Amino acid sequence: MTSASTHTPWHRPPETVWRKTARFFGDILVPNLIKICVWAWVAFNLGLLLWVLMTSVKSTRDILLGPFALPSHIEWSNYATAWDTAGFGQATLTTLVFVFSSLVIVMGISVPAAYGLARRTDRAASALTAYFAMGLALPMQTVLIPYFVVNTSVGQFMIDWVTGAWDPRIGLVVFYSATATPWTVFVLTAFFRSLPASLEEAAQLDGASPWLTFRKIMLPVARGPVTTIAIITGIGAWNETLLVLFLVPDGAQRTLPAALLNMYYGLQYTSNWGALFAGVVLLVGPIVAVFLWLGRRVIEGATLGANK
Amino acid sequence: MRLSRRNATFMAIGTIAVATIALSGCGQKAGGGDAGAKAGGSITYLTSWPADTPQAKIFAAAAKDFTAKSGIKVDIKQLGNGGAADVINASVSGSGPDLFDDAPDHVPAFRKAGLIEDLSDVLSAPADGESAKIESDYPKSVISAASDKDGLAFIPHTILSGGVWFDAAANPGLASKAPATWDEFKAELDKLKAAGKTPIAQEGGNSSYNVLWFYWLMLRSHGPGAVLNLSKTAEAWDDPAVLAAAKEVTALQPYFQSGYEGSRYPNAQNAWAQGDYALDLNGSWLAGEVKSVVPSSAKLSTFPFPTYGADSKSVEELNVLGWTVNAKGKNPKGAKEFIKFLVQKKYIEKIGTDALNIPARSDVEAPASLAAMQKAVLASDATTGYMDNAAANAPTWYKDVLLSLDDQLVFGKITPEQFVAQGKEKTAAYIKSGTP
Amino acid sequence: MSSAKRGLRAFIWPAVLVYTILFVVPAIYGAGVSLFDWNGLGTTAKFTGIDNYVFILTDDAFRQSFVNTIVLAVVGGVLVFLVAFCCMAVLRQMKGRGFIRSVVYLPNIISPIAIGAALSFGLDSRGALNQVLSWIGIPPQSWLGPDLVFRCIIAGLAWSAAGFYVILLMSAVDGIPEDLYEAASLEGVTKLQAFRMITFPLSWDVFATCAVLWVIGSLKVFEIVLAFTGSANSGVPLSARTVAIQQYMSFNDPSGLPRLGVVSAIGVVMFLLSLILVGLTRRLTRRETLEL
Repeated sequence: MTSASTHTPWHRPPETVWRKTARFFGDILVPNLIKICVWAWVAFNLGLLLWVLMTSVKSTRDILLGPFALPSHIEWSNYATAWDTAGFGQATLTTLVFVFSSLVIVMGISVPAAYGLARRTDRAASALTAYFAMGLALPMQTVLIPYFVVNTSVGQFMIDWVTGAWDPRIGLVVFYSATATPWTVFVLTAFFRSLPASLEEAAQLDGASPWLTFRKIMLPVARGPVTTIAIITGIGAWNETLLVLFLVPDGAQRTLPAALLNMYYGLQYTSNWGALFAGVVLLVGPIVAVFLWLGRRVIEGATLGANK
Repeated sequence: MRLSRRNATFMAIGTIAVATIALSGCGQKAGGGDAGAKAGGSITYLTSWPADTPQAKIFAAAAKDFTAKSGIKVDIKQLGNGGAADVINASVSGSGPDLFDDAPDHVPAFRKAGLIEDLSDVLSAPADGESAKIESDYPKSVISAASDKDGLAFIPHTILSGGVWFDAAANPGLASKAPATWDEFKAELDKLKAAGKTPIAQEGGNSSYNVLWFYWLMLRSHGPGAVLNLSKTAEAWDDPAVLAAAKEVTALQPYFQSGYEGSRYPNAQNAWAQGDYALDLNGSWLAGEVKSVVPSSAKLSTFPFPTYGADSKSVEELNVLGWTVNAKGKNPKGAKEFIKFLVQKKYIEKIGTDALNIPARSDVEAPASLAAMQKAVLASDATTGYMDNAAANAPTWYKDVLLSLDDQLVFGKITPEQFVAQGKEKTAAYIKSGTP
Repeated sequence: MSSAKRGLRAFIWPAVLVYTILFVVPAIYGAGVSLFDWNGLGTTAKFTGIDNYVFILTDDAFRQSFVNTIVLAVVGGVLVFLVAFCCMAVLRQMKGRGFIRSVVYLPNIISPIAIGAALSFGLDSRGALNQVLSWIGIPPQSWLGPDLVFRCIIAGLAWSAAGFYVILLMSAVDGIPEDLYEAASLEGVTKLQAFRMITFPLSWDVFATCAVLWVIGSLKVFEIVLAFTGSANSGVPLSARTVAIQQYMSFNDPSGLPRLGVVSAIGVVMFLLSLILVGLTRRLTRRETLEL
């Protein structure tokens, strides 16, 4: 900004034709055009959602009649087909267990770590923070083969020597949690740093241990952001496909997105587009529901990440 | 403080333990792990047929009857979309099936991984409830199609071939007299176009269908091995027949439906089944796949790919599908018992009646639309395997060279001359790199 | 160091251990595997040095996938941030902006598989989009054909990702004091100029972070391409393959035997590429922090 002391007072420039057009352009035309486009975008998103819902209750004949034709009757069997024959019921159970287990592990180790890193100011702490930040740039693709090899070796070992049965999804939970940790630690560290130190100082003066301070004072304060970060992590786990494709060879043991992909690839046999869209609704529905219920929190959590 | 840290660790371990128990309970239900050394118990059948296909239903019903009769439980699992790689990966990780679906183009990979169990004892035994040896139930050509140089790889249940499909009800002229030569075929295409119909349904989104034109023209030109030879030496591409075939493919483009490059599989074949297009060059399985969208008034039928040129070779494609017993499975004996049960006439018959495919047994009839094809395939003495065995023996060349170049040719992105030149170049590079 | 701070060590080490042993060490192991020619457990691994890397850099399919990925990152990024900037210019004063933010963000949390499946159904030659176009007189296009499919994927990706960056940048805009805009409008500054002179400079830092996030994310694009184009018979057409797709296809190699060395090498290259591009982006967007 220019310094005011040596500058003459700023007067409104005369209303030339040029200024009039510039003002029309900049104040009315372009902003309103953009506003129209934004509302069009909103309408498209909502329309797409409704269209998917509508298509999911159309029979195959209706769908082939035309994409915009209204259904002649509600084909609930699409959902039955998706749930039973395409294995979405089993996949939903798998996904729920996967999301829950990963969340417990990730939040269980990340929240304390973030707090610890936020409160320590020595060089080791900042080095560790940078170490975690590097994990943000480390793509899953780099570790896929090691995960695959370890998962199959451990599986074979457990089956041969220990329990006689093993589930590759255990490896899925463990490895996914490891890859989700850098982001949660990174974001939560920034958050904890933003909290004033005075909160704990009182407790520490009273001689409380760090764990007690953490549990009794920091956690309640941090509950909001921690919840939102947990929701974001949970959504990420719900949508995770790549790791599932590599680590879980058995189609029946895979999560929902992989089940949808599988159904999509087998479409030529039955052309059951209705069931496919029912599958889409089953996959996407819970996320939309969570979003409708907790939307504000989800958005907060997402923004926490970037406002480092 | 120490106590609390332990609590957190315990909580994590406890969750993993709970998850393990829960997941292992779900995952290994039908005793995939307890088959052990007993011949009874259970087997795992990894099928590539989605659960709502007729084939899956036939096999599931057979599995139920089998369990009722023999007491061996059959756990039917669905294969993921990774195909053969998933079977190999699952077997390596110790959770492989006892029985899985197989086809000749996957056999080399399975052999290399050591997954194919010797089936000669199954061949010399009778099917359940029948008296004749299983080997005698099948035509010799079918058995050899299901074998490679190391012996029988799988017990077949379906024969696959190819031809030109049409609706006999909408095109009675074709039903009474199908075009026999390539020139007659082109004349027929012109006739259809003049009558305002779209002559050919082309599944642009499916490369293995796009290649069928070039494939059959080459087979007609040079007989079995014509396409496979193109993967063996780069000089094979200099043969004038290759350029001629490529030119014919380019000449077909005006007869495809508009927008065929952007047609998502299986939309084109569904539209054909509903009568929007006249012909579809496809495999013998087409009627089975479009069963749910075909109107009841239609009468699907096939005629063989026309002869081409003065010296046209009468080649038939004889491909088979069947079941392989996993040599690395837990219960190969139980799997073999199941196969003996599956190949009974009453189940193989259903491949024809329910799944609308050509059954593999010699004493079972194909559906009316495929009867002529069945006769021709079994009577021919010049047969070749799926895609002239190129998909099996040169898989990387097949996918990366042939299919990708052919797609560009079919979409009109390259000229026939460029097709030949690039084919020669890429084949030379492929041979040099030594990949399978 | 106070005993309190020392006690915090216990808070940190579980995460560090898990991260190191289960993420960093495997990455190093992966780099090791990339130096071998290996077909999986049960087969022997042959040491081949940098052969896998040479293969990646010379093979046509891989080169195409690299080019595709870079195009996706650049064109997609331009689209996404164009949209985001436009929104930043007007969203501040729009009624219902909380609702708008929620609706445009929603595609970002929906599985790319679902998005790909739904969009590609509509983009088929006989599908919804061509029908709509025919109502306004535009001839039907082969959206899923080899020429246009990748552009559709970029558009679909930009559409689903833009919402995330809109809300990130809007949260930065929300932090700009209102009186700046009031003073500006009193002086006759148009809304567009206000965006250029006030909004944009003051949210540059958040934009820089967004640019880095976008670059990292766009290198890993995988599921949406699979759902848009893949079929069991043809795999993904060359014009649409990204690096992650090419890696997956090497894992599910047509010969049935996975090429683990090549797969690992791609993983290493992706990490290096990610570091390079992040560094580049940060350099390009570096600027002294503007204090208010």
